[in-house]
Amino acid sequence: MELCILGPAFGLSSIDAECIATFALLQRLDRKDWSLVPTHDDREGLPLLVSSGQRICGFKNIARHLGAHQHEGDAIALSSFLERGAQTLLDISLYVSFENYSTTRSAFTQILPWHTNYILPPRRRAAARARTEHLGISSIDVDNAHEDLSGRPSGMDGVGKEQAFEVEAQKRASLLLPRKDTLRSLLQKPEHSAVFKLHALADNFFGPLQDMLGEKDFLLGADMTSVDCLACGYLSLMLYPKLPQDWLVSTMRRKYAKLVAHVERMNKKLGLRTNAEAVMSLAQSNPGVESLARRKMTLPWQIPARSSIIDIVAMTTQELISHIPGLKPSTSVATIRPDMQLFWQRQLPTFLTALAASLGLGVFAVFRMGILTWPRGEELHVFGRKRFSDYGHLGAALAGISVLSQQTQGHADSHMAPERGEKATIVDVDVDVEPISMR
Amino acid sequence: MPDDDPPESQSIDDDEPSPQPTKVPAKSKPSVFDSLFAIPSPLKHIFDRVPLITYTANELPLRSPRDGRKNILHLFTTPEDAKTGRPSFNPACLKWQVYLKFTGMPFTTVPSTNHASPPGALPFLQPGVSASEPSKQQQPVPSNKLKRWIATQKPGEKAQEPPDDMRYEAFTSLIDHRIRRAWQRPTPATPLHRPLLSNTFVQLTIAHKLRRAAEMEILKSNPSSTPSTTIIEADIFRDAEEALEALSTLLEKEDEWFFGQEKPALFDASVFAYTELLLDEGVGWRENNRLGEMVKKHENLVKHRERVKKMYF
Repeated sequence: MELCILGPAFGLSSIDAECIATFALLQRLDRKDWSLVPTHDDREGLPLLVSSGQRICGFKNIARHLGAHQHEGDAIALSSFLERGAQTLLDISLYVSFENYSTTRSAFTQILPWHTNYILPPRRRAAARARTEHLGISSIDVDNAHEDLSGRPSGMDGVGKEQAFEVEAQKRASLLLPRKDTLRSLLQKPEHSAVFKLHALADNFFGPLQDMLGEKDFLLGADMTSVDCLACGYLSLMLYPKLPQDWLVSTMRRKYAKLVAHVERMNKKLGLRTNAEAVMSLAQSNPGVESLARRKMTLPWQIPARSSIIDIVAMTTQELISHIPGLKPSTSVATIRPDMQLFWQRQLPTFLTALAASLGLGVFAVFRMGILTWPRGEELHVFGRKRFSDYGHLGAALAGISVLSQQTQGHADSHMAPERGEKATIVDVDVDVEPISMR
Repeated sequence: MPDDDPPESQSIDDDEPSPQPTKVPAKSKPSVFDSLFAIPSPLKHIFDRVPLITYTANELPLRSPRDGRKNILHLFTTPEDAKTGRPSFNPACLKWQVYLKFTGMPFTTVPSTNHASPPGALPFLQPGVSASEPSKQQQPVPSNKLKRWIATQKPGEKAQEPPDDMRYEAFTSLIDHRIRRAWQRPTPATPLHRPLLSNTFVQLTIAHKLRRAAEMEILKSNPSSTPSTTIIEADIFRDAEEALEALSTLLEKEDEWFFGQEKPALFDASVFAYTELLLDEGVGWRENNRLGEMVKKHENLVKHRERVKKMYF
């Protein structure tokens, strides 16, 4: 049985929260027959369990397959709450926030091969931004500093999307009209209001969670359950990484000590701390050294699979093509019953774009090749333009030379006809005849 | 020619009996100016033939409240349903419609669209002119501020607090997340709504846009473990089934409201919004309504919906 997860980072077993949760689940079930493969191939989704021919993806499905899924209403509600709230907080703290993203990016660099490094983290970041853009806290995301306000729903207050121009204008205006900085105006500045919003989000998530934990050791009673593993996965990724903007960690440690204690208890019990460098060095080392390193580790890590050159090329081209508008891969839906929409209806935008492009190219090719000609009208006359012949004898002579050269090239007919005044082949040269003494 | 008005009005008094008694005595003393600028009588006869028509008053602008004192709730609904106050066919609108009925606030419903609402989303409430401040302009209330607005309207009553049960947030996320995802997945059972325009291309485009928007919503709420452009329907419906089971277990006894409260609250409204639309035959579900079948399996949810419908609609 193989569990494929994203590689280790931040001292945890993976950089993705659900992978940590699945790993914790397998540790808790204490089975002996499984191995752990750090991979970057997420075409089928990660975490991925490969067991006796079946490929199962996602924490819920894996738990169901291993028989550890809980059916009680409370457990289901709790897992849904965790998925929703924790995902938002992790998106903001790890991916959307610009300073933290550089830390996350460097952690990714350690575990991904070079080509995936340009594909996977930006894709995850784009997904994180799409998920959290309705919250309106993009002031912590420097990339969005010059975004326009046209797409913003008008119901939201102007949090976090202050235009740079307005700020400058206000600063200059304040020089003319000195206004005291009241507390309210300071608090309403985008950088501060974003912080308030983030703290409100964190409190809305941690508060009910801590209430549900109460004085117990685990979330649903005195025994560890799969919901605890899921919570541990998300909460460890919030608690352990050392990030520049650490509002999440400080909130947790300051106000929610019970949750911190719960996470540390789970980590100690299940042995989830990992040394990322040791694991990734497995891939590079030669066989003799490798077995030594493997024996030192308590977890069943395997060598990550190397991707062939074909895979690399395919993945890169697929990613590049997906950025061309109109050719985006349409959503593939794994349906229970056959799709009611016809094939051509699903592909309609791609089809229309291809049609328009080929039509444009065809028209261009036809004109280029001379099958059709663009209709030509009369020659243009520009009055006031100084022509060569206006410049006196030398000008007339020069004009004659240029006309001669055009004649040799065979363009003379079309250009000469309307220019009757330009018959500059006649060159007037004044010759003064002086009586010369004949010898 | 302003000076012609007095003599004209007098002449029209001869043609049509219009009540202008005050004008006649005021102009009974003809001044020098009047005689100087009086219109010559042949022309006056011509003008007499052209009657003075008073047009009826223009209608008020569409947005102005007709009945100033009532609160108007803008919803997705049909004009016939709006007059009788029947439930809307959109779960978010229906939730707030039912909640307003729970709290006993009087309101009327009006069919509307997204473009009419200032925050950009329906439902929203246009409050009526309050009795205490008749001149104050009322701002429309979006759905997320509705609860607070109700609390201000009824200062005497204690505000309805969410129950102390710590699982409240978790179960609310069940409805908002899992059931909503399953609702957004169109199946062969989804009722076809009336086409807006008969042009085929417009219909195709609008249908495509709506389908695409629903897909994007589901993709955004996918857990990060699934690949980024895939929707796995089996997972969505299995999650929804578990969510419905959990809700049914929460509502243990059949004649009480959720969380054991005496009066129905916001949570009941949220559950009713989905169960009503899934079980209602009038919405027009076609064959094989999976979600509807799942709800019908739980007797207490069906009875809860019927109870609310009987009491409030």
